[in-house]
Amino acid sequence: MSKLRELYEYRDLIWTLSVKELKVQYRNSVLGFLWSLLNPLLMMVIFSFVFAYVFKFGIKDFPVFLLCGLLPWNFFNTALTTATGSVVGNGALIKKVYFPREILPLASVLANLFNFLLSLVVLFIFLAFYGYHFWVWLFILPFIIIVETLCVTGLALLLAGLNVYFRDIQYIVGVALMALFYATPIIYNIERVQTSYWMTHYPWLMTIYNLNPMTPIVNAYRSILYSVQPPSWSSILYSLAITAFVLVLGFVVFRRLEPAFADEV
Amino acid sequence: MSQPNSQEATVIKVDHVKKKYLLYHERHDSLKDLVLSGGRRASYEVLWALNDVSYEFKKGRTYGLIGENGCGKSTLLKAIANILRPESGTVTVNGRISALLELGAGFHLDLSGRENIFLNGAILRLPREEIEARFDDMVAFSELEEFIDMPVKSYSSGMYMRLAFAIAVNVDPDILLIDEVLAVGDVAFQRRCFRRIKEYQAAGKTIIFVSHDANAVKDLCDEAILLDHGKIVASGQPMNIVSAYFELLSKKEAARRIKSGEESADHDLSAAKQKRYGFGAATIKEYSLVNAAGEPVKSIKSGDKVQVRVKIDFNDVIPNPVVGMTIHSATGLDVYGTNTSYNNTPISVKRAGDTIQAEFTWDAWLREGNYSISLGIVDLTDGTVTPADRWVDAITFDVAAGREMLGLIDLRADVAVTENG
Ligand SMILES: Nc1ncnc2c1ncn2[C@@H]1O[C@H](COP(=O)(O)OP(=O)(O)OP(=O)(O)O)[C@@H](O)[C@H]1O
Ligand SMILES: [Mg+2]
Repeated sequence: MSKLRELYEYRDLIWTLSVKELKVQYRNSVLGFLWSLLNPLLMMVIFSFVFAYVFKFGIKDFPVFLLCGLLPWNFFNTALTTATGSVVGNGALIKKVYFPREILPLASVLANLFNFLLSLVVLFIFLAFYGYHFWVWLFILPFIIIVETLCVTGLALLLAGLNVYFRDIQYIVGVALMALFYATPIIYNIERVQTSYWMTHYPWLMTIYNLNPMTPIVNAYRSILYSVQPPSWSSILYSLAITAFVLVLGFVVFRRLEPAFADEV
Repeated sequence: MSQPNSQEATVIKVDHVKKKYLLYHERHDSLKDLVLSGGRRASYEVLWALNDVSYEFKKGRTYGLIGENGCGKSTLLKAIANILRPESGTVTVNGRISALLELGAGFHLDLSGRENIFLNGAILRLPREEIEARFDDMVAFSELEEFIDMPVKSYSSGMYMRLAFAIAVNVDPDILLIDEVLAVGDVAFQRRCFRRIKEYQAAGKTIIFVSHDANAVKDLCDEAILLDHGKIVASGQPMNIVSAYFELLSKKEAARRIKSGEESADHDLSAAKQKRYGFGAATIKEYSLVNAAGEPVKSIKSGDKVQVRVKIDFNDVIPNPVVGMTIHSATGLDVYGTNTSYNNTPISVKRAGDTIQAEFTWDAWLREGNYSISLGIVDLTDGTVTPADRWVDAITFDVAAGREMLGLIDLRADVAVTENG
């Protein structure tokens, strides 16, 4: 609790570091922050071409379907990738000045959250263009965003802390995120998995599949924006539980590892 | 400089602090190593960078940390700045710390000088308006106006340090920690830094600084602390501590020489002889500081005529003997020194059994304070000085207050003013 109070006292620093992250990210690029919008759009074009036209998935308005999952996923993906390296990458700061070290992964998460919110605006324009009534359940969306952000924060703390001691973590994270991308219903519909041969014959596989905290989150985004339905409350409760667990774990592990950061980075 | 005063509030309390480092013979910080070693960590040695250090730093005083490379000075500063967490013991700090640790402040290399100023302000929890208010002062102090919008990775190490120092001293901390960073700046900047440090002292701030420059320590500090192998081995008057440090160094040097067989044990400059050394061809038998009436004195008034008397016995031949004296201020500055050679008072060849008495008579136009006098008899043949007997700080005396003035020596200027109209 005292940690939270301390983090609040350092809110200016959290803000400054988040802005710094965004600035550094786009400093030497011509299009600057437009990349955070262009990148998912280009991904959408590629995926739509491959899955809608080549493999003929037959999902209605595939680009919309895809973006509703891809944008939350991109947030998860980029936030974790940058946060994992955040403590090691700011070794110069850690060795010279005191501030709560949690701020480094937090700032990475916030910077990417900002990018995500910006890309959501583009998505809304897209949805309106396709004639989706995405505003009907939109009031639930902030809640989902908060749950995802907290979940990302917990994982970010965990990975950033561990990465100081085992630099392999950042490579493992890269591969694990790629695998998780396919284990999350982003390019496909979750029903396809639920009704597949393997999952129906081996229910424990489905249990493992459901452990992925991003599955209920992506599904919630999609039902609000694409299906224009309230999300499944049971799965939201489930992701809340996972988020709480991950968040506590992240803070506790980070706290245990943090005292020796200045010696190890 | 303030006088020692035990009533002053303690701003930093270092209490039985221990910090250890494990020196791995071979590091395992990848998972592969960990797996291959079966989960055991590699063999290591324990190094106590701080070994049970306790000290109370008082408000408004300036402390100098000295000691050999690797004795734990930087580690102690980092423990005070809360960057390192000690294994045991506690550090309690009252007040805001601004730290200039080795190689400058916490800068982000991709950001410009301007952005780094704001970043550091946020780290020190200064409100944004306050940083904005001080921004111009910082830039002016660093003289980096043209470079302030360039990324700091394009700065030279001196420029980097200038910016770091400008930020550290312009955020109005209560406590300033400085770790040998001043050496990188050019002479003009160093002078400005020292002036700023003096202003800080006058403003009653607490300063702890690490330096290998004995003169800076003697000049700036109220108190010096000597560290050796992670322990405080001496603390107190800067002059005494600096000479204790030199003793320690020469003791180690002697030990090293004996070990490597360069010199036999009976030849070394051992600690006891440090305050007094020489080759023994002559011995300072007696010395005194006397007043005009010829009575020995300890306290004088500014301007008193005094005399230093030195009696020397010769034990061996000295072809060209020279007797000298040097007056030092309490901060270790050489105030004035002279000898029989400078003064054109040659002494003829001396042999074993000869005795001489040298007298130095002078008017003590000194500022009030404590002073000491070092004495020496040397041989000056072919321009090389060979000390026969040198006695550091042999005499101490103090001068009572005279006219108000600045500096150490009263040059007794005549002041005239012409007022028109
Ligand atoms: N991160 C680290 N890992 C292992 N050992 C360390 C680490 N940092 C410092 N040490 C060791 O701790 C001891 C004290 O180091 P410290 O930097 O405090 O020395 P110092 O007194 O500042 O020396 P210098 O005069 O060279 O600056 C040294 O022996 C050093 O090898
Ligand atoms: Mg050091």
